[in-house]
Amino acid sequence: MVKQVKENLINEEMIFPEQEFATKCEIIEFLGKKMNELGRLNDYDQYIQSVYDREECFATSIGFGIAIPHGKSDSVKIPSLAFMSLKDKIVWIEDEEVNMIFLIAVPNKAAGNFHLKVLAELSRKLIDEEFRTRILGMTDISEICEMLTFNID
Amino acid sequence: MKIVAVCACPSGVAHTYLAAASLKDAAKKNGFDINVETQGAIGIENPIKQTEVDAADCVIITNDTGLKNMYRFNGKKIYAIKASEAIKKADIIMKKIKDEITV
Repeated sequence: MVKQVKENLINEEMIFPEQEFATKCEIIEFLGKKMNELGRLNDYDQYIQSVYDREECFATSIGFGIAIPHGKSDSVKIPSLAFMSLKDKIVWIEDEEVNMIFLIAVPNKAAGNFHLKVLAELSRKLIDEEFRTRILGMTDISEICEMLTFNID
Repeated sequence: MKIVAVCACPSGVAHTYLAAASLKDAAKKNGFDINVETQGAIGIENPIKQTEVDAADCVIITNDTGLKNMYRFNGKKIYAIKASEAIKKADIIMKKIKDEITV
């Protein structure tokens, strides 16, 4: 029997379709603040710093109009994923524009590795063109949430 | 064409798995057999056996961070690339392999 577990890395309060933002910093800080308001971070400033540190050593735009900024730090209380799609693409790094952003927050130490398995599954899905096209076209928050909720056995 | 690959990245959270999925996708499109090991935050998944290495025409590795068990690939033709290249340019890499290696 396959054990079905409902993942709560993401919920409808962390999904923002069809937004209008101009810069990557605004987006990272907007999504980070939402995570913080939802009680998922221990320290907002420290978390944002960990995301910027990661961006600096290795920009997280992965092609296909997608960026996956992430911070792995003690400042994270609950493993979290926030999603934003943009009406108009913005420049992420020099020659790369994005219109879908997945902000990831992972604690240094967490109970089990369930959240890591979910993020691995999300990563695999993002390579799938059909998945990307579908999610970009979606405006209904609950539908997007459904798409980004994975059952891992 | 038989390929084995190992993917990893500094945090082991996302790029490792993006790179693995992208290489698999591109290999399939080019009609290659590929087996991809991931060395991520979850640990080593789908570990590549020595017999699979021996049968492979080449090895693709990501070189953003140190990889475990590299001794397996001694004497093999290795393509070392960045995880981001594996994600964005997997198809170009497969074409390059097709041009350079005759099976």
